[in-house]
Amino acid sequence: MASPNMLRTEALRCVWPDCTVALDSLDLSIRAGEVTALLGGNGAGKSSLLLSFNGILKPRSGRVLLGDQPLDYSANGLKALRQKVGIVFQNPDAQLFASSVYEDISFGLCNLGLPEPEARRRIEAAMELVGITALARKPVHHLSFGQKKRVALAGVLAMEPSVLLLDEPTAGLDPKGADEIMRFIRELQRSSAMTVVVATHDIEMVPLFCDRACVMDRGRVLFEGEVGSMFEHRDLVRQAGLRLPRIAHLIEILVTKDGFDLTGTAMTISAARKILKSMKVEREINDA
Amino acid sequence: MMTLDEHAARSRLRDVAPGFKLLCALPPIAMVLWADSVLFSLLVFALMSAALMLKGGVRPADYLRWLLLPAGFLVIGTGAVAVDASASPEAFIVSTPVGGASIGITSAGVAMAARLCFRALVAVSCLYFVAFTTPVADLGRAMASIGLPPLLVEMTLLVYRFVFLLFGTASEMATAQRSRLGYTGASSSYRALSALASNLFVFSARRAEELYVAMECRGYDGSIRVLDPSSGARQPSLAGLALLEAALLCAAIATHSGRLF
Repeated sequence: MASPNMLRTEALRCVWPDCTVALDSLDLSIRAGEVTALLGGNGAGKSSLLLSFNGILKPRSGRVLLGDQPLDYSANGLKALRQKVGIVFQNPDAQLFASSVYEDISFGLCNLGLPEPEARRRIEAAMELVGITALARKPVHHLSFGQKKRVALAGVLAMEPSVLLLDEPTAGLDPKGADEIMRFIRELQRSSAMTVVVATHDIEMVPLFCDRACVMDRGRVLFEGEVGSMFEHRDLVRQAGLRLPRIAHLIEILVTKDGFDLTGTAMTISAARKILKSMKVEREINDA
Repeated sequence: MMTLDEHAARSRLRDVAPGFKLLCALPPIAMVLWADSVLFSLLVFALMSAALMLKGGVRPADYLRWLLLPAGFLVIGTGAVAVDASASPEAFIVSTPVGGASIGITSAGVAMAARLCFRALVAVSCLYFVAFTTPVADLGRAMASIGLPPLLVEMTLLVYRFVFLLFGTASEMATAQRSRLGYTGASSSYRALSALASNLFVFSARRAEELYVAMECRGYDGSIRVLDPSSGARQPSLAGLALLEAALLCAAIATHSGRLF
């Protein structure tokens, strides 16, 4: 691709019908082939941004670009857009409508007008991918919440989008389920070079599974950059009503309050472990 | 108690083509209604029940519990048919004088009530045969395949999907109300129920909007097109079924004309 930016917004302003400003002069670039986390408190505009990436929410002013092309809001343009940009909603009950899992996954593919054998191949593959093959013929209301989330994801993945938008993919899942789904998305993104945007306030999973982070507050972008650089901009993170991952907070307190002299910063357990190990080695050298 | 929907989802006869199951269950209802004989009714009832329990794998205890639901209703409803009023008390088995006439039970009334009761029970068992073995989605597909308008089929299936959602939400709301002392007396019950109904309406409207957006995101253009799971529905021999139905018909004619009672 000519541009490393898959999706871009320029001075994007979106207003809901009740006149609340959802997005306000927002400039943001989503890089191709990376996982970008959209962080922000409730009402920060994360979901609105995802909806505008998908052409559901039309800008009052400014524009959204896919690759280098501004979005085309005609019926055909939107059809082409939604083939490339898939969105998985936070609440699977708002997305799943068909009477069985298989039928629900087939819905998007039928709308693409794929020939039946190809559609069936893709449905099987998507179900295999997210591990729900055994549920194919079950009615949706017999599934658990975690299973519904997987079905919703499969329904979008089957359309083979090049950009995957996920609204709170871990909300409402137990730690194991949340971890599994993020691990799965990370693997998928690595193997198929998919561009993924995750709207979340699950701050702990961001350093583990995301490349970049974008912190939003009241419809604006406060910070955008590498996940690692969130530590330096922690004031902005806190301004948005968020916090650092617990480990990063611990490191911060050790340095600022307890006078520890640490080499670098850490957001994850493995990074913190590395720092502590290097301290241990240093002390052993000093003792010797 | 498991819902009929869950029974259907795990039935051993689930894979049999839904049209075939309807052909098994519906003609006998017509025959039973026409033959109007207790013996024939019992025959069909035994056939349906045996098929459901032996072939479908429904446990007798579950089946009995489901039969008891309409059975109570049936007994009360048909009991009234046996009661008659007449000027002469000789016609009754048991009677009480009311004014100049007497009200009581006649033997003809009892026979009629029994026949009616059995006919209704058999109709229930035939419909249970379909309900216990056929998921609604399969019925919808069968409806579409015989050429019912797609709008009707789509609406049926959407209603089916969202009835469960609506029911779940309604019961959650009712529980929340009860935990805050709703439904404790007559007036609080009315208040709580009206609040529940209006909340449910708002909830449904919002859910419909969310669903529409989500469907648009997957390229919805006004008609719902989906692929059936290629279930490889079993289509047992139609000749066997025709033979069975013919035998039943003969029995129906025989009992109806009184040669075999």
